[in-house]
Amino acid sequence: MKKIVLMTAVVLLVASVAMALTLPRNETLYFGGSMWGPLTNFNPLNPNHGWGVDLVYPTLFMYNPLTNQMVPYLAESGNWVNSTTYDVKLRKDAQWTDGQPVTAQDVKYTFELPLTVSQLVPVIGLKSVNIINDYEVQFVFSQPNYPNFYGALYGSYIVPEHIWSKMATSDIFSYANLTNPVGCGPYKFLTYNPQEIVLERNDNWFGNNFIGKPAPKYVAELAVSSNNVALGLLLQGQLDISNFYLPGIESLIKPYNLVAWNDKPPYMLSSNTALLFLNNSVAPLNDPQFRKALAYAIGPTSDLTQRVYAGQVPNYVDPLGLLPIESWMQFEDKSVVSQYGYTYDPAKAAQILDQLGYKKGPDGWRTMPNGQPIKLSIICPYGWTDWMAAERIVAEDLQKIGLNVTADFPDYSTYWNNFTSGNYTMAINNFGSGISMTPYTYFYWLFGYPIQQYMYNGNFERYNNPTVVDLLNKISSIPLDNTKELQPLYSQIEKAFLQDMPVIPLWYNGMWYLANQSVWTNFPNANNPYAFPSTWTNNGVTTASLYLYTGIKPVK
Amino acid sequence: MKKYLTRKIIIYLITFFIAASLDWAIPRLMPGNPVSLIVSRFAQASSGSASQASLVTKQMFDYFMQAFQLNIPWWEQYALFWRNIFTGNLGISMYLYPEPVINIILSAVPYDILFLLPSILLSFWVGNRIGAWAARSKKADNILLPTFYILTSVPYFWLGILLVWIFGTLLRVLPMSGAFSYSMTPSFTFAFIFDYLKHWILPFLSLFIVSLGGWAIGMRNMIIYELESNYSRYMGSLGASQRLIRKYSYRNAILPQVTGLALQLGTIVAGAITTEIVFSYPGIGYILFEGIMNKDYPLIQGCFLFIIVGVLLANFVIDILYMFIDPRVRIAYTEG
Repeated sequence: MKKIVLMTAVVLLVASVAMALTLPRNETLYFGGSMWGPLTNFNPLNPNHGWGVDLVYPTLFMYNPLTNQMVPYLAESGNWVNSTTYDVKLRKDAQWTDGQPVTAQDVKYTFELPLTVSQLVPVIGLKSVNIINDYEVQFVFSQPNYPNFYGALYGSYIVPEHIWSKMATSDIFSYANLTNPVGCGPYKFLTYNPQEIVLERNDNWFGNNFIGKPAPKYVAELAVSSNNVALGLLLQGQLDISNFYLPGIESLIKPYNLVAWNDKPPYMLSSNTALLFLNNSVAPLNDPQFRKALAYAIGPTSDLTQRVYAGQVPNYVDPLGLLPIESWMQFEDKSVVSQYGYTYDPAKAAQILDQLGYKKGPDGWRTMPNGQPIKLSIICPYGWTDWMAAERIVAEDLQKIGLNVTADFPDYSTYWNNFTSGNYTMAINNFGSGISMTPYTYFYWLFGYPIQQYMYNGNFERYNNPTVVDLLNKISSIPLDNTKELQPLYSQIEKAFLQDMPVIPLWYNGMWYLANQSVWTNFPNANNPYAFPSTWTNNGVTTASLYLYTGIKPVK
Repeated sequence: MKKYLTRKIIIYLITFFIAASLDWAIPRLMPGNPVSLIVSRFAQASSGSASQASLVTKQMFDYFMQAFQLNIPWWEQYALFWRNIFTGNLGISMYLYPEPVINIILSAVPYDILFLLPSILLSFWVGNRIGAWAARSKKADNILLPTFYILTSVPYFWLGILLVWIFGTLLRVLPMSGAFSYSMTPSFTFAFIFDYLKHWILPFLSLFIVSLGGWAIGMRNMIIYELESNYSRYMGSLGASQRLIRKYSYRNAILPQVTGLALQLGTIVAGAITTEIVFSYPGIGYILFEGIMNKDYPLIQGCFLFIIVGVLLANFVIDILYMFIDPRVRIAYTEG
């Protein structure tokens, strides 16, 4: 008996020593900011997948918002053969981690999967993907929707056909993909536990030749449930890169020698625009003039960001809410903005309301022209502390011009339910305003979706303007680089936007990014902008952050 | 004995039926549709991606409605709920889709049990001892009672943050977050166990210190009450030693404390949410909280089912234990 116990103990000890994995600090890059709970989904076909999918599965192209360029990734090149056929040549040295080559078959399989799996969204207008040879495919369209297709080129992850095709169609969308996922990116799935997910470098990566070899042998994304823990980890150097929003961090950047994108305010790049959605279907918000008055009361430049973000983000927002990136700004018509735009001018706001007949009642609040009281409320989810602070300021701005506006904070589920069903007056949101290759994504999110009982994807303000929808449709059928034809269409949308003010841009949300240089150095920043500093998943451009992993250097 | 047990078991079965039914009903009484929340995350995931790869479609909505069996009448959902309980199927989480609820609970709850169980039991034991001691020493009582009151009214998370600040930030002797170092993966090695214990101290202390005060106050008051009671006076008048009287009063005073302990132990499965957030400690509390915020019916039901079973089991064990620690109960049922 004693012998057996002893034997077992020895075996356990040996086994445990063999199995134990300890990540060497100087070979591991730790970051956080996109995982809030345990990893449960690593399925690249499910848009709600966990962190790290973009480092394991390849896209055909990457989009770099800093240079406004499509960079070939798994594709070697791509070009339009004619107006409905797009030809892609693949790299010949790409290999799945199980040793199989990445071929045209995988690309065809991935893009044609939505035809059989109904939960996946197909590329608009795509008829078929034809294999020319092992390393060349052609996308054949009835009529391409350019923004949609280019988005798919840099947003759709290619999966290995020889593995996924063995699965039942009904299981593909719900597959968790947590046991030995086979990819071909710069990193391999290594392990995960309730605190983190760890990837290990794929030394056989096809990008080693033309992008470079990633410096960290391991990368680990930490699940951190509170900002104060994230802050502590970052300051102690246990976290190398933080993509968390850390309130008050601006005073700690210099003392702790942290890297921010800019070394003076605004410290952060902009990632998306937060907007005030005005429910266009309820009075008095159905009156464009009334909405315009609100825009004057809030303004594109006010002290809002200073009071909420204290120098972390810019102290202005574009009157159209367009992000300060070349791909979007190139289509902003300055003459339209100067002619129809608005400024921060509460006096003018009050004057417009007076003229429209929204006079102040006996209680000091403005009423409808017919004397009915006006009661408005702004909503944002409870616990989103920076938004809550911003919302209070917006409510104050509107109270100053005599409107009875309350700032309300329902829990997220109630917020979302009311927001999508149109059961609200005003709400803050930013879900579809993220960086992309074309402002079409932004305008389509704002105005493109037809009004239904529930609006899940966009047009939450229920703006009803067929002309704008028409313009968007026209834009989608014009190649992205045809600025000459696109500009007049965008100008018309911008004019309608500024005349009708269905939504009011509030501020630029930051691409929260801070790095601690105690273990790794040469982090990207404004002076050395070699990579977009995001480790967020689902950003649509995260693949262009690959350069981050090849660009950083260990501190010796 | 048999009569006592049958009666208890019947009561427990009825309680379980009602509690489980409420467990099924309460999440469904919350306003809003959980599936619309799932699709909200898909809408969020689409930010900036012109591919609209994550566009929320009617198919996707219908798919989830069907996958979570929310498209059938409520009485069918209720019947299914009971069938699933008896077949041990807790369903798939909506918030942590597509992970089965049972896996989520099994992978998170051990962390809770390992730091909650010692802190509850130790604070119970130490708290009762100190409380009993305070009750018989006026001098000690004058200092200890206010201390207990302060301890018991201190919020866990505040003490947690304080401990992190002192030991993690100022002294840097103990890690400030996580259940183990981020460079480790859970394994049965000395290095890992040592690392785990280092991470365990602060969360343990934050709970231990706070609950200590509550137990001590309860015990102190009970002992004083028992020492004033007729049987103590009678024993005193018979010439029994103070030591003997205290021994008897302690035995009586511990009874209500044991009931409180049972309730606490039963809710272990609910985790300790504030502690988990402050220390970024993996556990079920934070997940359950997120589950509630996301109206994750299967996850809420699964967690509360464990809590219900936990509370009932703990009470049942205590009921049996009572027969040994309280002769009155034993006699009432064996002779009554």
